[in-house]
Amino acid sequence: MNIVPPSPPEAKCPSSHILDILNHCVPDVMKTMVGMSPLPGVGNEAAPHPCRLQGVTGSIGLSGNVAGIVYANFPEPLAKVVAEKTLGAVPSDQDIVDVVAELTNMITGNLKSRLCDMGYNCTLSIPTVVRGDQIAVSAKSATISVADEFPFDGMSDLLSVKVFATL
Amino acid sequence: MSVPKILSIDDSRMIHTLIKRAFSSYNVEMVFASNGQEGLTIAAREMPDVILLDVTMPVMDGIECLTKLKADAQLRAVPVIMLTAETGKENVLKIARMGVRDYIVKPFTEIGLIDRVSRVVNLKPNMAKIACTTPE
Repeated sequence: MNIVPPSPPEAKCPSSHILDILNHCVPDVMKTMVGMSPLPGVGNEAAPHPCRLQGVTGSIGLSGNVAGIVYANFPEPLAKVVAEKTLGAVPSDQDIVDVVAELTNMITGNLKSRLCDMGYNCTLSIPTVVRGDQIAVSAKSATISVADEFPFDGMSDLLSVKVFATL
Repeated sequence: MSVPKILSIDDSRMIHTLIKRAFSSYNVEMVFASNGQEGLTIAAREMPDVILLDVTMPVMDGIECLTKLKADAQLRAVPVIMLTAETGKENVLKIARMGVRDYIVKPFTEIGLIDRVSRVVNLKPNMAKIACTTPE
């Protein structure tokens, strides 16, 4: 009798894993901290770059077995609504920056934890925030270029999360 | 009668605001620090009943701050609850081994935060505040 060994489970590519993680943790962070549930994310496992960022963008670096950077981009009107809902008051410019920095920290922290559990150990940098409409980011040596965009009911702005990394 | 004193050490003003709001209906005294180094100074001066400690901070992170708290004869008995977005198994084990009382995963809800803190200190509702917010 010929015994055919079971084939190993199909290994998922890291980009696909990262999209799965973002599709879980971004809605979780937004719902829990802001009280806004985004609609399902529209992901791209091979996002083109350079890409343009408009509005308020939090960024956090990853270093270790995964080296790269995570961007969480909120167009200005969305950033203002998110900060107001989170803090329960009309936000100052500094409040908006603080909220975007902390939400980026939570999204990236969750991503990092899941990557570490999968064997991709890495550490995070402190979040930084940039504002502007003419910001282009590129990652020429990145082997992973993932983008995930989250719409909100009744809003035209998208929350966009981008991960550029090398394994 | 003294009220519980809670020290929040976090570099995020957003987190301070949310913590302040969460405990606004309770008789507590809140003190805040924006990094581990400042937190150690304030902890020594204020002798809080519980410390809420973020992990990732500039100047001095939560892990170094916790190490120093546990090495301080006066402060080592103060219960510490870590707040962290990093829930990886290794991270959680590392924090647990350092003698924290509990940890709260970011994102967190106000109810979850109050639940964890109430296991460490006796939270009593602020009746004046509740009376002010009760509809007629």
